[in-house]
Parts: sequence; structure tokens; C-alpha cells
Amino acid sequence: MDRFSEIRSRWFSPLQMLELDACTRCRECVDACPVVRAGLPDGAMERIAGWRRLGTPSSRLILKLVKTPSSELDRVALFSSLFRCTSCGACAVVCESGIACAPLWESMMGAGREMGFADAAIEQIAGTVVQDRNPFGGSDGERGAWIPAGARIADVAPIGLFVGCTTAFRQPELGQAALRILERSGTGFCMLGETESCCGSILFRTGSWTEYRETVLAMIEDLRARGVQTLLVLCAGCLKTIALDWPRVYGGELPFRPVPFAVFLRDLIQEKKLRFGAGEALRVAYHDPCHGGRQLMHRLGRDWVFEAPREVLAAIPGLEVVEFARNREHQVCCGAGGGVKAGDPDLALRIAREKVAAVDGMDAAIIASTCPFCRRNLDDARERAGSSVEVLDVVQLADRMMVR
Amino acid sequence: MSVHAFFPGLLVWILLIATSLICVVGLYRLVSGYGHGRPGRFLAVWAHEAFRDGPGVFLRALVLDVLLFRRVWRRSRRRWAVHMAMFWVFVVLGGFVLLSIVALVFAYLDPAGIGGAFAGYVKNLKLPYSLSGYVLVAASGAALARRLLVREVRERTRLSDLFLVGSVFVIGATGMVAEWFSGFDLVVGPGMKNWDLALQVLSLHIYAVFLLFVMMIPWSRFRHIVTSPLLLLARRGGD
Repeated sequence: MDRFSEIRSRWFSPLQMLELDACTRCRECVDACPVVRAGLPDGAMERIAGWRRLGTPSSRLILKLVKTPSSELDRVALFSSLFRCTSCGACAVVCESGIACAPLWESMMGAGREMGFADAAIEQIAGTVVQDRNPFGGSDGERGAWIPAGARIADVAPIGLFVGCTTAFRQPELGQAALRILERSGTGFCMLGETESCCGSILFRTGSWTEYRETVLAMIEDLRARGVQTLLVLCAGCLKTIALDWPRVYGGELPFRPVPFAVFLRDLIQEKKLRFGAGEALRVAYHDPCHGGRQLMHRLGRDWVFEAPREVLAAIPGLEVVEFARNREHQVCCGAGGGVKAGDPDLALRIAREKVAAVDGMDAAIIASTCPFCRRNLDDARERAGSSVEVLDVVQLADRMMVR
Repeated sequence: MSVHAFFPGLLVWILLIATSLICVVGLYRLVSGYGHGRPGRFLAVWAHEAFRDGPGVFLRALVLDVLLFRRVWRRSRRRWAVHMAMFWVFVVLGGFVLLSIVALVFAYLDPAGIGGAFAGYVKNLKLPYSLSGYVLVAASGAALARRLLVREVRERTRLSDLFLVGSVFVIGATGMVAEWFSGFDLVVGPGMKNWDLALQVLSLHIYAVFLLFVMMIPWSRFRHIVTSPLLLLARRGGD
């Protein structure tokens, strides 16, 4: 077995090998790709063609005959395109052959790293995650700094809260809003707190998770030891990682069930454990996060990932939920995922600007989402565009309107 | 003299067997590659995934997604029409070709003196052959024109894309023209009847079918005819 085949066999499952041959080149993925719309070449279709050219000796012969660019140039273009992919999965939704694109890109990136095609910015952030257990290089003490003194957090409880790094290090207001809701509803819960580590999202998305296996397993064991049966997750990226990637590392179903915080909120509202006061009339545009939406709709169900956050917003007096032209599984990515925010921040902002411009056209005062990472990028784009729209998490909106 | 009444000679039989063997070897090689050298591994994973949600879901994906192209329908009605036309014409023609081969063998062997009935069946295939030919040429012609004339499609077209659509067009067009010269065509009628020319074009048609399609399925992008349905079934329609 040559080196390429050896690397490929480590990273690609048999069905992924089939996927590489199943592309009909219909071009739907290219039209759906936010990165292509932002001006970069090569969507999913060309990526698959590029990968096939790498690994098929007979096609190399054909390549020579028709004088297409050299294999080395192909490789550079392919991996550059991969590391500029937001892993939003819009290509998979429109693929006529049903190719599960996002996991395919992750496998390609993992194999690419082994072949020596790594992206410097992503390597740097991946190194930080492995070393510091968060992508911001913060200490354990800083991680827990957002937790208000006197917060009633149990050591052991059937409900756990996973806040994620963006909330812990960059958006403490979101974590604090979640704690107030939990406290107000009388929900006993536990947290990993300062011992929480990054879920590993960026490592899984960019094919560099193998060095992080032990950290993930330690978190699973810690949560199990605390008796957690339901893990409330505040971040869409973490939710996807916990629901889809952790079971792969763990080698089976997790000993707890990851639940989007919005589903928990909806349950509280339905059980009348959470009441809202009268608020001013506002139009809210709901942005479905890719990782907590279309990428989890098969795993957690459309009701949990698409309808629950909308029902929470609709239950808040004064709020009117308005939809983007493309919503739910067809929504347009904010541009932050897949390591793009770290690897190419300008590209991430260019993509987000389109979203902010769309909201301005909808006469909405707020963009709501359930992903702090989307929120961060949309807020950066809003600031750059000078838009007056506010970017908030559904949890923050619920907290703001809650009767105290 | 038309395709359905053509009695294959030794050369055609050799062509048929050789190209079919090349096709089978290619398919084995593909499956082996998907299983990283172990075809059994791939088939086991595929079967596990395809039937994971039960036979009902498998059947639904087979009918709606594989046979009726539901995912294409959702994206583009125009492309759905082209796909349906090409796929079903190939299925119908392929089915009739297989039946014709069986009928020709029985006509030759003449078991219990009923060989004439089989020969009659083969001759009566002129209706589906004529109709299929027009549908195939129209659909593949439209796809070829799109590849050549629409700028944004042309810019992303590779040689392999042109081979794919071009082959189908050549197969359809040679079959259609052979029907015209045979005098059996339902639209043109006997006006263009020219047996010698019909035989020559028919030979081209048969060579095109086996050399540009049957043999090339696993060795070209035609392989999506096999892989795309397999994937749709394994992903249970992708929903």
C-alpha cells in the first residue's frame, strides 16, 4: 500500500470512499456555498474532483494528456479551499447524491495534514486548544471567572450545563443569563466549571482531533461521575461536537444526552416555570446556526434544532419572529465555522456582512441565534457595517424578558 | 434490420462478452477500493447503513430517491426532466436489449418449434426503440448544449463531463439514425430506407453502446450510475 492509500484508509470510511465517486457535478453545491458567494473559487464539486485527481494514478495519466495544472498546484488549491470552508454543510443539503459533505471535508483535512498540507493559522489555534484546553489561550482560573459569586451549582446532579469556551472567555453575559434562568426555574444543575475543556470542535472540524482524545474522554468520565443524564449545551458548535463527534471518540452512545439549551427553555415555558413580562414590540430575525441546525437535524430531529428556538422567541411577549429568505436547513452560514474565523477572519466577515445586510432589509431590530460563535462573527460584521441591529442569543432574550 | 431485428454476429458477441467482463472487473476494483482493499468490508458497511432504519425506509429511498430522483426534483425541475429521460430510457432500452438477446437465442434454438414467436417479439420492439431514441437524443442533446453553450456551465466543464454526455448523445443519435435508414422508424417511416447504410450506422451504434458505455461504466464518470444510487440507499435518501 502506498503512502497516499495508507493515509486515506486511516481517514476515510468505506461510505466516504463511495461518496468521492458519487458526485454528479450538478453544481448545486457551488451555488449554495457561502465561500464561493464571497468570491473564492472551488466549491464542494471541485474539491471532490481535486481529491480524486490526487489519488487516482490513471487519472494522472489523463491529466498529463489534457495538460491540466500539475498535481502539486492541484494539491495547494485543494487544501487552500478546504481550510477556507466554513463546514456549514449547505452543500450536503442540496447534494443530489446525498453526499454528507462536512464529514468528508474533515477527513480530507485530516489526511491533508498528514500529507503536509496544513494551514498555519489553524495549526496555531489547534495547538493552543491541545495545550490550554481552549482556543483563546486562557487559564483555568479565567475560565471560571464569569460565574457569579454565590451561584448555586451542585457538584452532582442529573442535569449538567456545558457552557463552551466562547461563552466562558468572551461572552460571560450569555453564561450568566443561563445561570439566572436555571436559578429562577429552580433547576438543580452541575457544571464542570474550571475543569471544563474545549469540546474540541475546531480540532474535529479541521481533522486534528487525534491528539485530543484523552481530554474528551476525561470530560465524558467527569460528567458521568457527576451523575449527569441530561447535558444542556449553550453553544451550537459544542452541541454538534458532543452529539456527533464525542460518541466516535467514546466508542458508542454517551452516558448522557446532549440537549440544546433552547429545548430546555421551551420546556420551562410549557411547564410555566418561566414567565415573561410585557416587552416592547420588536422584530427578531432568527439565524439558524449551521452546526446546531442542519448538521444536527438528522441526529436530534428538526423539532429540537429548528422549531424549539423559534417557539421560545414566539413565546416572549412583544417579539415578532421574522424569517430569512433561506432558513432552517437552507439558511446561509454566518461564515465563522470550520476554523475560518481564525484562519481567514476577513473572509468570515465578508460572509457575515451579507447576513447583516439581509437583516437590515427585513426591518428587524435583533438577530437572534443559539450559537455564541455565530453571534460573535455577526456582531463583528454588524460593527464593521455600522448597522444598528443587535445580535443576541435566544437565552439572553429570554433572560432579558423574564419576570424576576 | 433495425436494432431490435439485428442478429448479432460473432464479432458482436465477442464485443459484448469482452466489454461486459471489463465492466465487471472494473466494478470489483471499485468496490475493493471503497473497502480499502476489502470488498466484503464495503458491502457489509453499505448493507448495515442501507437497512439501518428497516426495509420500509430502504424501499422508500429506492423508489423516491433512486428511481424518481426526489433530490433532483427539489433542486431543478428542468434537470430532473433530463435525468429522468436519460435514466429511464437507458433502463427501458437496457431491459429490451437483455430480453432481445434471450429472444434471439430462443429464436435460433427454436425450441418446440416456437422460435418464430420469439423472432416476432424481437421485431415488435420497433415501437419502444423508436420512442426511446427520440427521448434519449432530446435529453442528451439538451445536456450537451448546456455544457457547450451556457458560459458558467462551460467554464466548469471537464473533459470527463463532455465524455459522459457526448457518449449518451452518440449512442442515442446513432440508434435513431439507424432506425431512420431501416425504414421501421415510426416518425420517418419507410421514406429513408437504405439497408446498407442502416447496417453501417447500426454497427456504429452497437460499438458505441459497448465501448463508450458498458465498458466505461466503472472506468469513467459513468460510475455515478452505480455509486449515486448506492450512496442514496446507504444514506437512506439523505434525509
